[in-house]
Amino acid sequence: MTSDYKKNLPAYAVLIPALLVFFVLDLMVGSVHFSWSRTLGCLLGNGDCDPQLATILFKFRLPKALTALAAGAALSVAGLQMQTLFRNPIAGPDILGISSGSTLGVALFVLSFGWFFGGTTLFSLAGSWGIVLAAWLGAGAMMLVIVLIASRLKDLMTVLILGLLISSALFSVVNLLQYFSNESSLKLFIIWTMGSLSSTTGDQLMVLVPSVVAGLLLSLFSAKFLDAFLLGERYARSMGMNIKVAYILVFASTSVLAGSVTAFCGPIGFIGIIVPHLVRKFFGSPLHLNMIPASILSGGLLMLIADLLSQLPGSGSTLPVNSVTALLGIPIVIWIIFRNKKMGAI
Amino acid sequence: MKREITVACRGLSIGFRGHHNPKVIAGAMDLEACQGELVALIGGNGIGKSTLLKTLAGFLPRLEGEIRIGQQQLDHYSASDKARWISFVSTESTVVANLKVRELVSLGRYPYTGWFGRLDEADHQMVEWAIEMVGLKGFGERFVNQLSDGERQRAMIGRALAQDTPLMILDEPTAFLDIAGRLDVVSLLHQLADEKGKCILFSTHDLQIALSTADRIWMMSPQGILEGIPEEVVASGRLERLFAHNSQLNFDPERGEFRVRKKFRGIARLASAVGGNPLVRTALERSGFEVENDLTPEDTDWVTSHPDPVSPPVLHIDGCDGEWKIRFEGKEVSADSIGGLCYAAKMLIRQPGS
Repeated sequence: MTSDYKKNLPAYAVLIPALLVFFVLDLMVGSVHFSWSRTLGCLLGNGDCDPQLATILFKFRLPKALTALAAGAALSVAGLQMQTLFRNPIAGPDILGISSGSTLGVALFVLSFGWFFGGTTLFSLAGSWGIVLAAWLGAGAMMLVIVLIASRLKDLMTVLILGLLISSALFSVVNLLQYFSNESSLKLFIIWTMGSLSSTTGDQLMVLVPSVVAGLLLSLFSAKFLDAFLLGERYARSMGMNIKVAYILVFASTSVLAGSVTAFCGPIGFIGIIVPHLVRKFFGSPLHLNMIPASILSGGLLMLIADLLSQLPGSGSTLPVNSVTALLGIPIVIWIIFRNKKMGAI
Repeated sequence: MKREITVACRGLSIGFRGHHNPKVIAGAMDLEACQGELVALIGGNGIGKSTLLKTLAGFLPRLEGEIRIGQQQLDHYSASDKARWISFVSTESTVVANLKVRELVSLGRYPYTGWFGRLDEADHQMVEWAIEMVGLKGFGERFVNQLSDGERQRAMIGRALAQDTPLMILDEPTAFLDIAGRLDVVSLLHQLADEKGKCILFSTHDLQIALSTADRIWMMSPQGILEGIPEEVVASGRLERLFAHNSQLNFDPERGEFRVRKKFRGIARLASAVGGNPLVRTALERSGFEVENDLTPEDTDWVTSHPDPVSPPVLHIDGCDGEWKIRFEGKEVSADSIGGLCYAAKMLIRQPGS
């Protein structure tokens, strides 16, 4: 669909510069504000860069901004894939419990890790890979449960409600696990649950970014499968789609994307639901080679904006980014529900 | 002349494989459909039309027997080869926001494109051809969810057409359409079968359209499946029994259609001048009269003079268009419209002798 790319040039011409501007803004704003010139000078290595600024910039703000980009892109593409797969406009990693699946995975890992090894080795590179692996498995298991439910119940709303129920059940299990675990592992877990965009360390970034890139590549490679799913599984099969390969690819990609973000940033809601809808509104064609790149860029942008908003108000303290995405997202979800009355599914 | 057989079933039994005992919906079916044929699958609700179509399309496993598509058993096809032989249009309407007609139809090229689904020049031509064939030329850039029901069904058929398969299977393609839309879709299917040599199999509840348009009928009934050209199916006398449980329906073998059975009111004898107007005949039939031709209008008096309480009332209708006269038991009423004629006929026999 080359013609669509041409038609979307204006949208990309706004989106890409906006992404760059907000990326730099995100680096400038925080407990200490930097000017444009100093930030850019330091970034581009113009020599005129005092060590204090460099430390803040490279140790804290750059990882945070990169995390925001990765998280936004990953959640948006995960949400897009789930909306297509379940043919459900309000599907998303958080709504259908994929995020809580990864939370449970991480809880099991961290609490037993603390039990066996104790200490802070959890925050090493190996520990990070362990956490992210546990999150993927949790997300994948939850995906499987939801697909089994969706194959039995055709009603979209029932599937959503069951997803919410299972999700809260998983959170209760996580709470119980905390109750029964020893002090040192509990401490590790609590530190993990306080995760946010700004808490990712360099080591974690070394895990997060490659995972997200791999998930996004997987998603691009399943674009044709996803297109066929647009018309429903029966049509997909009638067009000769290899259902098994398709499910494995989409499952793997969604679990890796949603799981990785949850592993390091905690559950971030609503980005996964709203970005695909915004992209559908501004980028035309629902075919996935069009939707995926646009979702990556828009998701990154929206997450940077959410992060900025979480810094701005008092300038001294930071709001939890989860609340900002909820405040941004809920009105849009309501709009989707109202619009959907006359427009139908995805 | 040898007919090229596209679908052949021998001893086919369909249903669902349960955990312990399979649930057979219909069994021992021998069926055939050929290139260039439009085949209508008819039968009451719940008889298994949809199950049969899904089994033939390979969505459901068959329980027994064999299905041959072209030269091969259906089971021997790989998923992608099957998609080059059979295309499917399901009854559910799919709604995807922002999907253009051209994009929808181009999804039909799925079995022929590479990993990323990029269309080459030949694919693009096929898509444009399919759009034109289903009468949606100029609609390529329109959104599918903004089309009318009939146009959307055409677009779905266009997608199946772009899939370029010898066999097309459609599950109730006329279900949500008005009468004009139904005729439109079925005549499109007929044209595709006739001109493009496709074998098209569709299920429908619309007997009249099926009997008048299809080349071949597959009729599913509790007694088993019956296959034949429409005239053979009508002559078999099995259509009457299709809705045998429903005493309100009468089958008219001449017209090949079902009618709602009316309360029988009496016999209307038409003078030859009146009998020439078919509308008078159908209007009286609809009002519950059995219509006879009155060949001897002169000697009618014996009926009116001695009314037998057991025999049905007999009316005599005479006159010409706009000036009808209805006689019954010595009374005569005139009517200037067909509606008035039917009303007067009903009133006359309701109050005998008054």
